[in-house]
Amino acid sequence: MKIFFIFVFLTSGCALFRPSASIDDPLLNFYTKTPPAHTQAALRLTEKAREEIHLGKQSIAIEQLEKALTIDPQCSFAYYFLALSAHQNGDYKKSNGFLEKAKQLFSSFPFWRAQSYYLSGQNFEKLNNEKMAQAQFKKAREIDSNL
Amino acid sequence: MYNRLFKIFIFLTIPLTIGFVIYISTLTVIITKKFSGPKWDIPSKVYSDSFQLYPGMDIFALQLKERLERLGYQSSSEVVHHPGEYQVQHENGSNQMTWTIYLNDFSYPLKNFSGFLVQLDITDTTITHISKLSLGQKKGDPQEEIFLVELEPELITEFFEGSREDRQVVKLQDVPSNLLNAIISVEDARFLEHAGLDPRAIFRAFLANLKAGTVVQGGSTITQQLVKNFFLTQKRTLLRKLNEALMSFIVESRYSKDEILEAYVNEVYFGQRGSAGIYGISEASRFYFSKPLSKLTLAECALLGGIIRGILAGEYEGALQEPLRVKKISTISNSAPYFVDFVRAELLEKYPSKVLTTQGLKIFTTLDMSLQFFADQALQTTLKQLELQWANLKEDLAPGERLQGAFIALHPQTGFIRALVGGRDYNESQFNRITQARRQPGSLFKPFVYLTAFLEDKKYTLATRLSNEPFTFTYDRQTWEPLNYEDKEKKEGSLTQEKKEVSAREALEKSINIPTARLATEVGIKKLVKTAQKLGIQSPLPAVPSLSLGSAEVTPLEIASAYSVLANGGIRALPISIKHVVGPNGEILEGKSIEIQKVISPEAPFLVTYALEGVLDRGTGRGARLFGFGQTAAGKTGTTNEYVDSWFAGYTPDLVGVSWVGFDKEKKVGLTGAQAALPLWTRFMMKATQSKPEVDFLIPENIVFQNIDPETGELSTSKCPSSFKEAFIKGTEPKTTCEIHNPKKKKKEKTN
Repeated sequence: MKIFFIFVFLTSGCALFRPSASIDDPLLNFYTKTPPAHTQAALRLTEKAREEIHLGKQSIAIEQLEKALTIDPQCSFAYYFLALSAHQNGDYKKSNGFLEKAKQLFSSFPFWRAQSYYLSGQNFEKLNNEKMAQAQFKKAREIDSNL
Repeated sequence: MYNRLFKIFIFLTIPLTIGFVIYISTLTVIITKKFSGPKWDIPSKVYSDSFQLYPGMDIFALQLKERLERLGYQSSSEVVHHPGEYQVQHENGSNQMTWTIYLNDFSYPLKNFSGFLVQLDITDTTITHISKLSLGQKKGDPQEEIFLVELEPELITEFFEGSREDRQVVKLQDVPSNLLNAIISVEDARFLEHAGLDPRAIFRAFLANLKAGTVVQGGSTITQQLVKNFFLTQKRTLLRKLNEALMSFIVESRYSKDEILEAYVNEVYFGQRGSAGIYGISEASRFYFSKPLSKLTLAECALLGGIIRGILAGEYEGALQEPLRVKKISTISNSAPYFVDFVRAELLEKYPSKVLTTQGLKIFTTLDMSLQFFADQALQTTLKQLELQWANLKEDLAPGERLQGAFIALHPQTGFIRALVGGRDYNESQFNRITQARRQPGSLFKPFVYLTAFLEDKKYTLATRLSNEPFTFTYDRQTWEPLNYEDKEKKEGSLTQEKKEVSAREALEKSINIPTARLATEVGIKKLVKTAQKLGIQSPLPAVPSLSLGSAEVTPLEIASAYSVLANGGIRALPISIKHVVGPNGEILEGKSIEIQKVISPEAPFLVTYALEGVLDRGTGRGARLFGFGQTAAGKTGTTNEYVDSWFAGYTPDLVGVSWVGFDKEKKVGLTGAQAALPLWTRFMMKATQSKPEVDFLIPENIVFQNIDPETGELSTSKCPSSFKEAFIKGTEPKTTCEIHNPKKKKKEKTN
């Protein structure tokens, strides 16, 4: 019995210390089962676009993301990074458009759904719509309390 | 006497000298003008979208072979060594094969792609592995795995004025010295020594021609040839020869040898591609060898030099002992003329026509060439079939009055227009029925009525019972009495028994007019107008009750855009046809990216989509299923008064298609949307989706499903004769169980 409790204690402890997800994690890691081929191809392009965004190469990133969406129009991550790119370009309204689609598609990715609401909140802040911004932040925290 | 002669001489010489000076000055002005400004009119090129290959794709469904051939790739039975070649190898006795493709170089808007060798490993027809190879790599050598290969965009057509000249202007320093040497040695060996004319060459040619008794050799220098091509005709007259000589001297006196040679290598003619002439060595290099000048081999340089003079390649081949592979020559025929017109109209809003036809712009579009072919094929087949089946469609028709059709397909999520056919024959009529024809959409408008109801009032669900009894609606001192399709038929003798009440679902699935019209008047016509506008309908929509049955004229493009919002969960993507416009020096003049906006919450569009799936499974669109189309899809038929227009608008989660069949003049087709337009839509969709994985429509989180009794719309019990899994917006689902088929309740009622 003691051994059982020690086992439970250790495993729950491990769970506590499990590193939390990050927006830089490999996108495939967020899938519990291997996605279909077209989704995988779109994810690889999205990963490349994420690198381009980090390097400030927005145009190349947008092109990669649009290609990703041509391959898999349901690629939620591509919408998120299009939104991030638009946000970084100062086009907050456009960014929110992409986030609306990302929120719809991230139904089984709570971490990313919360990120989408959070980024949307930041967009509304920039658009001086404090009420909407707070509503988005609240929703983000409801989904992911770490935010 | 001498004095007199001198006077005459002076009298004649002065005006002649003045005339000569004026003439020389005029020629100088002409030459300077040509040399200082843009020397050539360069057509703008319109490209399709590029195409991505990745593991998991089916090469037959995506028509890889056809795509490669349209791009000018040449099948080879030997090992592939050159850009633009591919080889297919079958493993003996197995279902494995490999495709080796040497990709062409291509200048994309944001990058210059340098072609390389790729290998596709294929099991059955599915790509299992893609690797990048290096030249000379042997089987078993380590391979670099890549996850995606991009095939360059296909050239759809070019915008040009007068004669079509394909040319890529190149700077002299970018031309390989081998090629320059080849051209000089073949065309004008003493080019660097003479001053425009080469007396030795002229004398040599004179002797050769005298000996042969005919013209076998020319003595023209490179400068003379340039002058002739730039300013003069090809006629062999003395005056032309004189002008050529004078102008050559002027050119040589004003411009350096490098400037002359640069103009020449860009001007020289290299042959024909269909109706287009190939001009300049850069275009010729891509045309004949699929590679840029910098990658030409010595033998290829020699061959290009030889082509100018018309020397057979074989002579050079023998001399240089290097096997030459000349690319298969493909012609360009505009396979998407209506789409191109649409693109051109959009470009003309920003660029003058002269710029489009002379500045060598590159226009990258959203078109998928395979889908375009499928659309065109589906349209041609459908119209022919209809004419065979219904003789009245072909009778007594003047030219240009034939049965017409149109089709558009776009991505609902991105707004990318993937295929557009604006009519059955562009040569017969350039009128674009997708973007220019405003027609009544008929029942295609009904989904917008239900969408408005679900958005505006929570009391309406797909299970809501609606009266099917005729009614009269009075507005603005007018009355309106909608009739059902069956009622109209009754007048012609049919005896269909109609239900007095139907569910919203049934009304939509079977396209019943009266309950839809009643619902529209209950919800409000102005609200219906607002909804339609939110979806992207831009044509004027008069707020009259008949609007609910599609009386306002709209274009198929607007319908496609509006149905995209239904497919995309209430999010509207602006239709896009042009992705990039690139200037002559590779600079991006314009870049259009996806623009999306949430216009309505996702639940109501989902309910409409869920009902429209029923249209295909059980309703007026079930012909699509009978035809063999099995993918998850939703759609709606449309037929206008007197059977003038036949429509079908439908979508899978990733592709929206709208088809229209009718006559340009208001004339009865006599067929419903299901009979005329649905076959066109189905033919296209079956081809377009065959390589696509099946995806379901996204279910919004506020949607719940309940098993209901279709007769009452209440929760079904085991006693109900049938049960249907209906979708509801959370909070609007029925709370009570079916009373009609529940004996306990009946009993209670009796006791009471």
